[in-house]
Amino acid sequence: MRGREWNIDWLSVALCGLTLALTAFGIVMIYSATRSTNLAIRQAVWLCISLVAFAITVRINYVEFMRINRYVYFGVIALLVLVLVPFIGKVVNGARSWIPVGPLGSFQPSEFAKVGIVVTLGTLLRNSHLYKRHEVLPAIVHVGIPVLLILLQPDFGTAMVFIVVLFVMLFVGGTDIRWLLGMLITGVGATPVLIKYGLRDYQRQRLLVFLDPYSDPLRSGWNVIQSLVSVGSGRLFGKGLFGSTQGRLGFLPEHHNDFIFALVAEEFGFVGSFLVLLVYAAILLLGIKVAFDAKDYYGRCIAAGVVSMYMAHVMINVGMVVGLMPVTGIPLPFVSSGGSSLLTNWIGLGLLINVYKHRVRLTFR
Amino acid sequence: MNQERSSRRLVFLAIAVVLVLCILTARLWQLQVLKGEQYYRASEDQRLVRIPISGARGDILDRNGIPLATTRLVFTVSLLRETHEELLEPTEESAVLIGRLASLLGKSDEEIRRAVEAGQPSPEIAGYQLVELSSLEIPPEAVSQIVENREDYPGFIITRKPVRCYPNGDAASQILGYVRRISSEELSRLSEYGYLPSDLVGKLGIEKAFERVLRDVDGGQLIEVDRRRTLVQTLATEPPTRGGDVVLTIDLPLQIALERAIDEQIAWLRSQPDLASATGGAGVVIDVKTGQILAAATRPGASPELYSTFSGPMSEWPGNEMDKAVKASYPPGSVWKPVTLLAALAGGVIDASFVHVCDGRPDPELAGKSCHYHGQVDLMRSIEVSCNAYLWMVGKQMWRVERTEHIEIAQRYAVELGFGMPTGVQQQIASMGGTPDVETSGNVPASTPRYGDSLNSSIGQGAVTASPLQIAQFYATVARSGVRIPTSLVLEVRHPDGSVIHADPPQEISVHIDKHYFDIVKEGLERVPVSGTAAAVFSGFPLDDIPVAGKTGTAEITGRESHGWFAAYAPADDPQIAVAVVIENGGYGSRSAAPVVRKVFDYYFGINYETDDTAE
Repeated sequence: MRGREWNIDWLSVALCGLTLALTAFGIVMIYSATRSTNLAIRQAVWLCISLVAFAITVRINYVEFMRINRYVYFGVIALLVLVLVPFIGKVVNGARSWIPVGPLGSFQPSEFAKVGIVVTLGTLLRNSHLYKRHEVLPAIVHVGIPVLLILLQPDFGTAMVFIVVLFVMLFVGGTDIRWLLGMLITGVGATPVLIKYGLRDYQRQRLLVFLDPYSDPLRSGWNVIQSLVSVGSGRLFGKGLFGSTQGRLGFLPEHHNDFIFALVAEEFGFVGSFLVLLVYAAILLLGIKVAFDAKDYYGRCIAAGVVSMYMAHVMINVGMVVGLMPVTGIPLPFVSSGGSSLLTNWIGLGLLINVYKHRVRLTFR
Repeated sequence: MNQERSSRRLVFLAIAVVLVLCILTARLWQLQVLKGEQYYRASEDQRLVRIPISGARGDILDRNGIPLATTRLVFTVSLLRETHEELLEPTEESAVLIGRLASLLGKSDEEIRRAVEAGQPSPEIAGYQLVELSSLEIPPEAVSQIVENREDYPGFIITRKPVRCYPNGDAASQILGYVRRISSEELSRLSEYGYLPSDLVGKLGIEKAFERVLRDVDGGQLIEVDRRRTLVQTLATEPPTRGGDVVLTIDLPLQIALERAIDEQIAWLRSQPDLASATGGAGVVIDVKTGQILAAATRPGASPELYSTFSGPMSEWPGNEMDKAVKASYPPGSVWKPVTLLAALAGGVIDASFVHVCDGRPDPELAGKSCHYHGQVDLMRSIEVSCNAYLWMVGKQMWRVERTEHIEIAQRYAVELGFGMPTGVQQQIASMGGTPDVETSGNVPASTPRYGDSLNSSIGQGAVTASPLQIAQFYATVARSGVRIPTSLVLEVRHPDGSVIHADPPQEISVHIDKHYFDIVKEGLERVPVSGTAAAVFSGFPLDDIPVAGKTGTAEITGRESHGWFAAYAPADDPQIAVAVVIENGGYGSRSAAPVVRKVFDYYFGINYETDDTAE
């Protein structure tokens, strides 16, 4: 095995190539959105940092992560608590989710929490196939604590990502399907109660305008409507690179960030946005292949966790942009502007490559 | 076992991934392909705003090319609605801005504040609305100040606004008409031609008749705005199209001379204790050779600008908007006598040698009405001294012939001479593509079993009425010895597309009356200023060089002072212009109307009275 450590295989190349292309494309789109090199350069710098983190992640055998499992988990919890402290955490768009870190902008603990939770939950679930249902409640608690902290920020979208990750990891980890169905039913049943008591006014408003954006077209419905207008106005082939009017004239909000897919759809039309979705499909399916070939349950759970993390983001973000999901502040993986998110996603990719590097060869099966 | 279940679940996960991406793709297809056009239009609509640029309405020119009605472009300030609202609030900032504007324009803060309050919001276009401070005219120097120091005048937009103006005050005002904001009734009629509720349209006269020619076509500016509705860039500018021009036959200096003469005369009459009731007047000057109207006055007048901006109650309407020269019919009085005489001669009622002795006694057949004593009067003298008794005698003869032979003489020849029908102005305007106001036809004498009515008609009283234009046309017909030419008012119509329509050459209509009879009447008319009823008025006028043929008239109206008339043409040996003037309630024509006509001739023939100022 040792001599094969840097064995380059087609899957890793494809996965890294697609992701790198997506990130580069994101930098171009950030430039198109802001018409200034500021954020684009910052994103490029973050890409370099991400590549370093990626390389480190790939080098360490993922099995070693089990050893620092406890430090990772409590580190994540500590950061999530820290960000809630008024003079440390910075409020952006109504959520105290940021810790300023000088020239590179801000740092978002809930992003790192994602990979942290994926890895530590993997540790927890690695033997679940052996002792059946006993791992379910510990897993819910394991994810529930950071989710509660994130809901305090409040960041409803990221919390949703965690729930999707938990669900998918339990599913892949082999948990009894009845447990999963029970969770699903409880979740659906709890939704109205949650909406009634758990949401803040602006969050409830977002849900209402999701159902009918034209109920408040100039304020809370504005983002949804303008996002739909941007996407739709791209028509089949789009308005061309840098041809967006919705973004340039300020009709489309957060167009370098949460709504960057609307900009993509406007500039490149159906053809372009479909291509982007295809790239995501390829990354996700390759990720699933990584999980399939993982040599152990730990690796499989980590791979499935990363895939579900990506998937949750794509689903929630693109769903929001096309009006199929309520508005939540969730970035589009690799494309949206934002260092923490980019770094997290590249570390996630590092985990995938890592797991694949130590996969079970066909010859051994 | 579990290993396999987990692998199976990974396959499910892959299927879920594909499913989610398929749903998103389907949604994209729906938004971008099925509804793409609709969303594309929405995105264009919210960023593009078309701001109309007003063009300039065409000019109305006199025959010399002097503008009678024109369009001046003035600069005004428009504010974004939000800026306007801020400026209305009594804050320190708005006070500073108002003060700055006031010192720039040399006005008081209070004036500026009032202009801001009176700001007129323009129709909202895609949420983008300007409020025009239309009462503030910005001189060009101030415009450059505002443009160069944008940051001092935030939200100020300089717009050029066309203003209809009439440089000659009230001259020819009733011919020109005026423009006003379009009415809802006109809008529904004209909306197919692209009229907007804010448009001005001609309401009267030439402005109305040639509305479609004079009208400008708005251009536009396509601008791009951002979410805050502020201008990002101008994408396209389509210049407005200027309206076409209409050239009238009016000679402005002559028009002004005629109007001034009437005004001065009315002022003088009102200063006389017995004629203080003189209220107004009308006059027409016709080019004898062509039938063109050189001047047509209705007094008192008021500048069309007053009509355009008038907003008070009707009782304060600035003046008389009726074109009395063309549209009003008056009893013509003695200026009608040549019509009766020509009819009697042509109808064989009398011959040229008919003589009557006027004894100055009341006529029992006319309820005791009497004529001044004139002694033995022949046809020419009857014109010269305006002998009613002679005309009554002719009238009696005519009535007998009409009754016994069952024919119309007075009516037939009146119509032959152009009475009882429009003079041609209306028709000419229509033939040039205009939609004219209706000209009056007046009334010709009708066959009547009542003897008295018939006699009344013979001296231009009773049922007979005519407009000053008809009278002027008749005297021009006499001047041409029986050739009638329809009157015309429009020389040229220059359409916006460059095409020019010229007036048709005058069309001559021969009157079926022997030329010889005209010569007799003309000789009578020529004596009037020399030794007849207008001799006093024309004393000092160089009649030897410029013989004048004319006729006074005093049309009695019940209960009020008579209307004074004078109709004439000159030079009698080679007629150039024919003039008819009526002074409402001005008393004797020789005293009220004739002096006006003399002043017109003085002006037209360029007569200077260095030492002898005896025009009155």
